[in-house]
Amino acid sequence: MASPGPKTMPLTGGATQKKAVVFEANGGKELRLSGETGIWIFVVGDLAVFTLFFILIMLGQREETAAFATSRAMLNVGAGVLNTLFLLTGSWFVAMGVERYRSGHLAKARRDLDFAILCGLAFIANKCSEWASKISAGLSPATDNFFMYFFIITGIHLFHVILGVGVLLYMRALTKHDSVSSLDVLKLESGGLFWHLVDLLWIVLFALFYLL
Amino acid sequence: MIDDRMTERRKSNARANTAAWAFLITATLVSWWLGHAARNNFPAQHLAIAGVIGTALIKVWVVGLQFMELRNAPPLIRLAFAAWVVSMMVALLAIALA
Amino acid sequence: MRASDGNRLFQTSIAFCAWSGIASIILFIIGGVLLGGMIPPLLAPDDPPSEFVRKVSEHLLAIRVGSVFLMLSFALFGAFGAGIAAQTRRAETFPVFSYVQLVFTAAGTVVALLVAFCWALMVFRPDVYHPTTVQFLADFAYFLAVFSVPVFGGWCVMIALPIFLAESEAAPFPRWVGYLNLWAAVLFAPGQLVLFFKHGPFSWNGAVALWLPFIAFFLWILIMCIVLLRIAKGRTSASALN
Repeated sequence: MASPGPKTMPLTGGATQKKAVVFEANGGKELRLSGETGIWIFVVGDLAVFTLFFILIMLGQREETAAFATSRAMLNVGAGVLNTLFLLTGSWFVAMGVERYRSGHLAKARRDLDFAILCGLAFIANKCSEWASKISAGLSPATDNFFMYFFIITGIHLFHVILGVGVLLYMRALTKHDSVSSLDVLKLESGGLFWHLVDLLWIVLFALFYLL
Repeated sequence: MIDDRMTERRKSNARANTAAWAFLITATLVSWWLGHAARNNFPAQHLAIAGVIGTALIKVWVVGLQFMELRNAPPLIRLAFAAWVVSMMVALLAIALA
Repeated sequence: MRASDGNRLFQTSIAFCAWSGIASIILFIIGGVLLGGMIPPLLAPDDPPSEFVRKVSEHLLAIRVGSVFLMLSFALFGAFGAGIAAQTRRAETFPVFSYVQLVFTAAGTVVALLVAFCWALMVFRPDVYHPTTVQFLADFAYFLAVFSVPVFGGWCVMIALPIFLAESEAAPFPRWVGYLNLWAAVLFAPGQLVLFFKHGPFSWNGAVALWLPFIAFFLWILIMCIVLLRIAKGRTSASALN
């Protein structure tokens, strides 16, 4: 077996072509799942993990209602609301950018993604300043169960946001290519789906940590 | 012809994106107020908690349907997503209130 | 003719690697779940040292036999990882990612083997060891297993990269396998929290830091093995894999 090349044994690959055909045929009403198949594995997997987080937070809330309420009162709801607005607006820019990319308006799509990246960076900056003020006030994951969940789970979420900004930068780079292949469209949609997932998870975290 | 239809479709999707964004922002502000009510020992505190969790999951559903384009997905996938949202809502409410 | 013989050998050896992975899952279930008390965790990080000694002394034989199975299970990681690397190697003209993958495979195998060493030593003579030594060996075993995020996560990322970067015609695995590997890497990450907590979901017996990475890890092995088996059967066309 000197070098079993593609001719003797085809490597996998045509996946995207099949989807591309579906995509081309999708001019009218045909039903279709946005993005690459694989991104949905990621989305469903991450939803499953955060489902566990949501239930853990809620169980903690149930067991220590009074302690959670006292600790929650120390959070700055305004910072949480602001971050929600950043992510929602970022999601809107991403959705618009994907739509414009699909219709071939690459420069406009790039501008949308620029604004989305700014929203992501604003979220990160706001989160960091919120954390810094909490830590300088002597609060840490060791303070109590509420702050343990707060720091760790919003930390894991922040990690997603940082990954998401990286994904947006990659999507922005795609808009600089001269031509748009159907795989490029799927890649852009997949990146967008990741960003919306990050937004979706924050919506629930915001309610559970700041509002209850 | 086909191009016109696709342009029209894209325009309407862009309008739907903006409508979804406006709804999500409004819902965020409403749930902020509800959370305030929950904390200030609003007479119907349970109602406020249910409102906060309910609003959050409706927002999740809107993000999924519009931004993640699940409204164009095959019915079974749409159904699975709706089932996850509803069971999430039931589970969180049950833990909070039961 | 020569090429097709080569293919048959390749397919057989890939099947061998896939079955090694599946065998390692089964051996882990016997050694770590049914006998060894690794997961669900018999021990707890906030127990006093004497409690560690009491618990392991109660299950001395089961944990000893379990450790033997654990050793067998973890030793098979090498074959499993090499099978994946051999497949990604075919898509790379300059097999850099495949080499990096092999480094991670080897490192991961050693780290995993050390888990079994610690588990075995913990029950070697717990009555003679100072109780804190028994506690230390249990801590060490769990730290090796879940604190080693960059080793196992890096392995997954090094599988994902050649898939995503390949020309779509030459991708060694379907692209969803790339996403699967990135997801697995993200799920291993909470394992690093064990350093900071001794009770609750983020400690080494908790839902987030222990169960999540363990389930993700063995699920990842299982799915990768199924994909490898499909490749071994020569069903590499996209329609078969998607």
